[in-house]
Amino acid sequence: MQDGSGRIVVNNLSKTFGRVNAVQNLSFQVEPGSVTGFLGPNGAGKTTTLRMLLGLVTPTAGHATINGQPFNHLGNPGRVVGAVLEAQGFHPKRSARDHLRVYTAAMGLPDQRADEVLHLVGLREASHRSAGAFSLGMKQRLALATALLGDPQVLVLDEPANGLDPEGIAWLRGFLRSFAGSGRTVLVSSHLLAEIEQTIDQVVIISRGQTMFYGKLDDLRGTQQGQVLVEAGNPEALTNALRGAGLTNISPTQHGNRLAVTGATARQIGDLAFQAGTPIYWLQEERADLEQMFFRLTSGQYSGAPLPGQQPPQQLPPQQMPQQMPPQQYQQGTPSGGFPQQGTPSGGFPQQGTPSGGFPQQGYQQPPPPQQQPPQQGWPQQGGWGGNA
Amino acid sequence: MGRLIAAEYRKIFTTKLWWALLIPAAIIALVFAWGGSALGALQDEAETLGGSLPLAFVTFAYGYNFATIFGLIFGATSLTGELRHKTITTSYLTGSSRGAVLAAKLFTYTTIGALYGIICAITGTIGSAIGDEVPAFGAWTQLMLASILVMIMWVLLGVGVGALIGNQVGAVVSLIVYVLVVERVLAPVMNNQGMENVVPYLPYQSAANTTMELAVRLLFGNLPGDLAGDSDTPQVERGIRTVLLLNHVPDWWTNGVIFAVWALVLGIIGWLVARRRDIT
Repeated sequence: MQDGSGRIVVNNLSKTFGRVNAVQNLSFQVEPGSVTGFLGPNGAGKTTTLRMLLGLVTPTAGHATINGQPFNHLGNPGRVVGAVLEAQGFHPKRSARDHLRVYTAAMGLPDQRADEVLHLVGLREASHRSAGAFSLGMKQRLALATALLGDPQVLVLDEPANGLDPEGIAWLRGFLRSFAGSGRTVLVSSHLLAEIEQTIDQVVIISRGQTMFYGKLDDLRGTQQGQVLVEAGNPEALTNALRGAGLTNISPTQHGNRLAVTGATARQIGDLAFQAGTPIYWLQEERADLEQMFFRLTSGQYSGAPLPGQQPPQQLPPQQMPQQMPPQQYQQGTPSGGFPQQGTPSGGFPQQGTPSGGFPQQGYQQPPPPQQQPPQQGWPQQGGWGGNA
Repeated sequence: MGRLIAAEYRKIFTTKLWWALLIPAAIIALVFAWGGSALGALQDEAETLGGSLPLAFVTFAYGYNFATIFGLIFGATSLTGELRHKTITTSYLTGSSRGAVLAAKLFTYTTIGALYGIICAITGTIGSAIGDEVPAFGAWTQLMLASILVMIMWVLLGVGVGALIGNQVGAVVSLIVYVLVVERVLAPVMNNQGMENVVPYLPYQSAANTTMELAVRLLFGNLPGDLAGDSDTPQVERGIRTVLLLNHVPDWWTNGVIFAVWALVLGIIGWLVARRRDIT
């Protein structure tokens, strides 16, 4: 029987399509009361994994359970799990309300539940329109309404932000937070870490069908030490002083006399430079950057050819990326917007006292409660959210 | 299971396809019965024979073989439509099991097949009444009941083949081509090649022969007064059976059983295949 925990367990899951190993020996667990991000580049096997979890695709090996049971043993599964999947559709001539009423019937729910969820996702006005006439964002909302029909304990969403407008994305984040906050389980996939970074508590990162990282977001941050970039008048003297203090992880950068020191604080280095009698012209502390780590963990698969004058990210020493890759180069495919901005006038990244192109390091804004989102939040509307694994 | 059946009915009745396909089927049944009935009641003929010739039996049965194609197409869209519009994902996510979802579909479409058959029987009866009069009530009712069963089997067969093929256009086109072209060419060729005992076992032949054999039987069993006792009548019946390729065909109900086996086997195969198909 179901244990009612709301826990998702994926155990050594593998799937082979012909000769393609879509998913290889994947294992992770999603705890109730949390939002778990399921991250990986396009084609990493995210969608296949979610479909195996939901019993839509039969695994080649391994198994996945929800509430301790495989999907097809859940009884009335719509009351336990709600899912928003990419390959989920609507009959183009069936109205949104009729679409939902098909599934209230299937789940044995009262028909008024259809109107409730339409109201919840903001589609009440469009309830009698055919789903075929809906915009991508409205379809995404209708898919979410369908997933919520059975008031499920577990929510599984595959790239849910696709097609949503900025307001919709902000609403979705708030919704997922409060959903998980009520002790329920959320598993949400994305190919962009920045897209869900503020929403998730723990993360599963996969690449080429294999798990690259599984754990808390903070633990992922902790896997990489911050570094300090320093430009000294006498680099040799500073290097010797650092070595003398046991700070041996020093590497030169491409930028003249600057050194990158790992495992030290700016204050330590300033003190050591003062003792060594060398002036410091420039000093900057850089903290671990999730986006970089995501790149490193998932690099290589289907990566495009480098642009002229640009080195592919995976070949760079990860600590030095911010210097060598101006932020604009990350914005390929995001013609407008880019990443969430706070007071940065032109397409940059949110910067917090970092003079040279910093990456998002902290939450830009706390996820607002549903439907109270200030409209000025600049989320990309096109390109950046597109695509799917 | 009751919930899933209710869901299937809502899927059907919230879109237009079910009546868009039912209307031509019903019209065909009406027109063919009307034509046969009117033809059998032409005044000179009726005077010579001492009563109307109940041709509506045969013309209805002939036209009905076209009407059933609409039921077949309707059945074929049941699962393929869900695959095409990707609603199958949600259907499987809200059903207790795939087997249950598919079984509910088979059951629901069987009843819609019965609806198609009943509507066609009603319009056929109306057509016959417009042309002249409804032939002998008991005999006509027998043909109508047989035609309803044939329609149910066609819809069931369509659901099964659709589930087997998966692709909507592929399933509908294959079925239409098979029914309208392949067997119509194959059956005479096989008859000429000395395989006339095999032909009745082909699916379309068995379906068409169910109503046709019964119709011919009822026609000659309900001839007007002068013809009924005529010594030439058995010879005429043999001639007509030859023209309609009914010479080597078993009884109408045997044909019905053969066709029912086809429909059930294809329905079950479709159910088994669709249960295992990955939804990607």
